[in-house]
Amino acid sequence: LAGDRDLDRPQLGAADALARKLRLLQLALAGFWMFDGLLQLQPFMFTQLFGSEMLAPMAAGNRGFVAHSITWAAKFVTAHAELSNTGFAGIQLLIGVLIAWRPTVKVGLALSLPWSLAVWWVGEGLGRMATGEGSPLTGAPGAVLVYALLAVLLWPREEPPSRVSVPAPSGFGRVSQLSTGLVTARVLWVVLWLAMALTALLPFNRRSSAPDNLFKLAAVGQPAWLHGIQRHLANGLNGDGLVVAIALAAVLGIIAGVGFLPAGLQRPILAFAALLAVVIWAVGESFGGLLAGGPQTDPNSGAILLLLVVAYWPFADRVRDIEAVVV
Amino acid sequence: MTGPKPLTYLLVVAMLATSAYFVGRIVVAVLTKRALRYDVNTAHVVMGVGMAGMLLGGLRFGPVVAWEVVFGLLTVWFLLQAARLLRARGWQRWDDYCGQNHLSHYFAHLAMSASMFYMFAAGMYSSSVASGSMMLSQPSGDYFLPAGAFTLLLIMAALWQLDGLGNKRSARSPVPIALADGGEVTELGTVVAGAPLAPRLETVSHVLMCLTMGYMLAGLL
Repeated sequence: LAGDRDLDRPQLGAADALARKLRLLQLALAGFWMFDGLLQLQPFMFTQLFGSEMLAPMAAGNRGFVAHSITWAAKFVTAHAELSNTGFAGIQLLIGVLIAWRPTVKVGLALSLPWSLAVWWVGEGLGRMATGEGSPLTGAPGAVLVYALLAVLLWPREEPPSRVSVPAPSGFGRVSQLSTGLVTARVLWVVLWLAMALTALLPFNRRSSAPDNLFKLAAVGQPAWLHGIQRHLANGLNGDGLVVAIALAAVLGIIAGVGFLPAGLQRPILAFAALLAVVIWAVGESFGGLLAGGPQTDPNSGAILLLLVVAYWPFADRVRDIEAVVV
Repeated sequence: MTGPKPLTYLLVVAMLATSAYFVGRIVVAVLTKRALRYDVNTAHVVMGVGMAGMLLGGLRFGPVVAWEVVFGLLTVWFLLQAARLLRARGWQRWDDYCGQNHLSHYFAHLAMSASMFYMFAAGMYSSSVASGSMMLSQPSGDYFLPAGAFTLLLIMAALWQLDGLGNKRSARSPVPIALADGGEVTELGTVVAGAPLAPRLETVSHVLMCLTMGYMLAGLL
């Protein structure tokens, strides 16, 4: 590497270290958008089947304007399959690139907001919330809503990190506080997890056969090891729909309130939230159906929930960072 | 199943243009004695041609095994370079050439070379698709895990490159000049021998190649 000069990486102050974590989270979000954009480039998506078999069914169960708008969009996509899908993939890749390039990070995050809502409407049928058939175990209230939430949460501030007052060490959502402030960060967290808790209590999810149906459906086409776990869960929880719904809602409710609990409890509860996100992603969402092969538009909500938990993690200052501030 | 023809043509043109660009970089660097990583630039010439062949059957030439050997050797080469750098300098070193951790020198190229090797090994170049067809080959079998892993690696490489893009300066970037009265002005830098050659355009080319490879791997997911 002729001509290169190596330097020790500059020592970071506490605020700079948090700003760096904020940047890493932005890059992770950009990665999700890029992955979704590349999934959208699968050959199947350029066929009429994308509109007729993936979008059109989202209208089922929805009412009035919502159903009509989804049906209209599905017909349009079916009629202009190649053009519309090239546009969809291009927008998602563009969002990823814009977020990843520092000068355009705000443009990328801003663009992702209306796009997320459009995808939530047409591509996810409002997360099946209006149909009463959504379940947090299968992605409700909608994976792409979490993308939008993260776009708000990771919005960069105007002030340089060194001029921002550093939130208390080990505080809930320290990184997010650097961008949106504590109140907004807490409100967003509570709204999302409370929505999931309430969704778990929908009559559809309280039916005695709900877990059995959910896990058996999720197991279709999955690799043997995952299929086995899901079948085992389906059989074990068969008839216990009400108990599962109440237990899940209680857990999600506790997670929703984690920001108001003593600091010593926040870390274990957030760790549990991360574990729950992985469990939901694996057994409820079958990793977004990616392992089954065939076309998928995104990895579903479990993976992006994991990123959300990391965004709220109470990162502690490293000794080196604190020393840099003191000096 | 097919990808749309206009998109395929567009990517073929982009990859051939990228190859030609890297050939031009090598020529200019030799003539003007500018700093250049010849291994990286040569690898990208070959990658561009190889990808164009995968996208468009009519551009294919040479036995598949030869391509596999080339990209296998490039993968090993970049792996060795990364290991050498890691051993000599450790993890936490900062490099002002790319404005990032020094390992970014080779991570992106390692990911791209390995992905190319995988795509050739998976049969994307040697399928039964008729020569000149616009079809992306669809080898049978379960390719999801390796193709998904390489897609994620390429996304990470593209993110890494894009994040560092703003830190890169061309030889003629405006440089701040401190004045005696405490003020500051900027003026265009002077091109000197040894200065890196168009590092930002090179980075954009890397990102374009990563995303194009991602598009091709998406056909295997």
